[in-house]
Amino acid sequence: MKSVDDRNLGLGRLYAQALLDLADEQGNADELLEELTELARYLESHPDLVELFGSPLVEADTRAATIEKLFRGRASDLLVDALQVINRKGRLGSLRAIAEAYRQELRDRRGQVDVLIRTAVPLTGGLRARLSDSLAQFTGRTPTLIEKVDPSVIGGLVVEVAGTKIDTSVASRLKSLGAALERRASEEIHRGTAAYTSE
Amino acid sequence: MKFKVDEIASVITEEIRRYRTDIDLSEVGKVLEVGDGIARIYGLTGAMAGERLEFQNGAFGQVFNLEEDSVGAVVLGDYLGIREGDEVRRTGELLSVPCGPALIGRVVDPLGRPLDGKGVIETPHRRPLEFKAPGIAERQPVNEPLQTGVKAVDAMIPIGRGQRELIIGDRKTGKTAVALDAILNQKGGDVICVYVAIGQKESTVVGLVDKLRENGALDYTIVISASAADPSPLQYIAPYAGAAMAEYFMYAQGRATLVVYDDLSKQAQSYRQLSLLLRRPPGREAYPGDVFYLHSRLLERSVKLREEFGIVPKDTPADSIDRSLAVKHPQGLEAPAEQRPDDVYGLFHRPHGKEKAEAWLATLSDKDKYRVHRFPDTGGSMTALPIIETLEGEVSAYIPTNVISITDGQIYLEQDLFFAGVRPAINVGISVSRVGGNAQRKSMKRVAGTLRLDLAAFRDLEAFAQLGTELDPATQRQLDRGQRMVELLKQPQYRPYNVNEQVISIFAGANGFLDDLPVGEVLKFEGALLQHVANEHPEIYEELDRTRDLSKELAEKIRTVIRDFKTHARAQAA
Repeated sequence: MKSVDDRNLGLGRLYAQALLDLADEQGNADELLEELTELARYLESHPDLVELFGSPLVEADTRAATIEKLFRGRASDLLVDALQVINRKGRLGSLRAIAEAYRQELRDRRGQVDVLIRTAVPLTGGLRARLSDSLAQFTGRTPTLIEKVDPSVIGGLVVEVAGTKIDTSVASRLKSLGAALERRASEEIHRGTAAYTSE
Repeated sequence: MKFKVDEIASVITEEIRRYRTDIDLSEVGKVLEVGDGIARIYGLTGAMAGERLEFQNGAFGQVFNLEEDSVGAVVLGDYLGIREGDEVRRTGELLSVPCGPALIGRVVDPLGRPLDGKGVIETPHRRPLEFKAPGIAERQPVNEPLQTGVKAVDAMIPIGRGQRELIIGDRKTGKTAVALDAILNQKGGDVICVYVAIGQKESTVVGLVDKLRENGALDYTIVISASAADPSPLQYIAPYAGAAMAEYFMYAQGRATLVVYDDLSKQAQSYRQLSLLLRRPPGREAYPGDVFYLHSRLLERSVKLREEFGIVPKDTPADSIDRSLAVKHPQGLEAPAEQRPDDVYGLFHRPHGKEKAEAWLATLSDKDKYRVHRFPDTGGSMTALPIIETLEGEVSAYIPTNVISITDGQIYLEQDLFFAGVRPAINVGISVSRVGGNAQRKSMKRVAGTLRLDLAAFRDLEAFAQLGTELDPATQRQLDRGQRMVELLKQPQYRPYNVNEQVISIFAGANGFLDDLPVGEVLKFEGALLQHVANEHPEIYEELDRTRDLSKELAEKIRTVIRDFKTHARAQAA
């Protein structure tokens, strides 16, 4: 799934929270997540539908009718009703953000957290388990590892979790060593180059 | 020339061997949008207001707005190199600048980075950009003069150390010249000067630095420049950086400092730009609501700190700042008034701290083991000369009225006077110094006491006389005197007058010695007279410096000297 513009997430969170409250009441929060994910994927493959939802040129009534025709009976009533409300507020364009916010909100309430891990080589099973354990301790939640193999890391790990970045990579150490050498060089030049040259 | 490769390699090896790094754990956010020197950043939920941020391209930022999902930050440096989605990390510290003696004689940007090509500035000291002004307990009233070397200012609008005196006027009326002369006049003295150029042309700043260097003033001056081409965040922080650098000398070394903010109208404009881009609501003249606080918190940092004395063991070094060495009076704050300490730590403060400490010391049985110690980091001061540019003499615009109300007086420069040849073009009628009078030397007070009123009366008469009416002799005399006094207060640029020279010169004018000279000859006569006194009667200057007063006998002596000099000059001319 394409990443969602963070700017819309704040807005999406409002709808997502309300939706989640209702779904929790009815006890089908997980089903709704599946439906929303499915919907988001469907929208991705149908850009013309996104345009229809997002365009101010189309009247709300037309859109409402389209929603009824497309989804009523195929999706849960809760979702269709939610879509109608979102349509009335003119926020159908932010549907993908709402879906993403819903996913994050649900995981948050379940005490789960996404962790992005970048390594130069794929993680081995033992390492993955150890990482999971220590991250669970660090965050106090159940981590879901999203792994990425990125050769530019060179070695070590870069872990990003809930706005915090833990960087033990060889790349960043080399970078800071480079900066230290550069600083030393400029100090030495400032002091004079006599010690390093001869006639 | 050959490079010693081994030498270089060994330094690098050593550096690598010493290199240690901890696990890098930091809170990061992502740039949502960037432009015109500001950035909106998603995340950074733990960021503090005013915190320093680091962008992926190495630029620094400062947190301005804390919003629900994002923070608004200003970018100090190259914002063109920042892209959407870039990583931004918190540093956990407020913005600070390097300070200390290493900066003296240097030209730096508002973050303390050198602009003069003289290499890195190595100093272990840093101070926060924003620093809360001292409270009433740490201050003392302004009581020591800061000589500007400008006759009209020192005589009629005296400035004291720790005072904020606004220099206000239209463009090209000599505002910077007055401030620059005040810096030049500190040569040989104990004052550290900081000149902050905000939003000026680089060429102007270069010219100014050259003038400072030519006159040997760079030996005690720091120049901070945020030119018109620099991003507005840098222009906005420049005065705070200047204040922070001066504060080092004031708080750590107890020294007197002079800071010139040239000029604050441009700083207010850059702050307005930032605020509007950050979508803070605009108010009058589109300035944000806190533009008054912008200047008041800056100028409140100008202060004359109190002096602190204590009774310490005799072998305490003179530069000790350890307050715990002070012996406490057994009765504490209940002690008799003439030897009562001023705080619970047993220290004595101005105005009579030294006398009280000595009085108590004299009553001690083992007084030979102790001495009165003045803590050397106390008694410092920061004098501010903010500059405001007006349009068409309009002092009732928003920013000028704000700064006028914050400062302890203003020096008002007028274009009409400037073009009439009165330079410095100070309008002494509406220029005031609200606190400097207490700091003026007695000698100057005696000669210049009535000068302001006389000049005001002269201006009234002058307008009247232009009608061409017949004047009685008394009025005519007053007019003649006025014209000569105005002439006497003219002064070329880069030629600050010593306070004693000013006393002699104004004494000559006020006592009518110039009345029979043609107006055009006044300055020539003054120059020759001062030369004569310096060469033939140096004891007059010595006496003035020693007593700081003008006794009746000394006044009589000066009178005789001037009279003799005049007769002599006449005889030579004839």
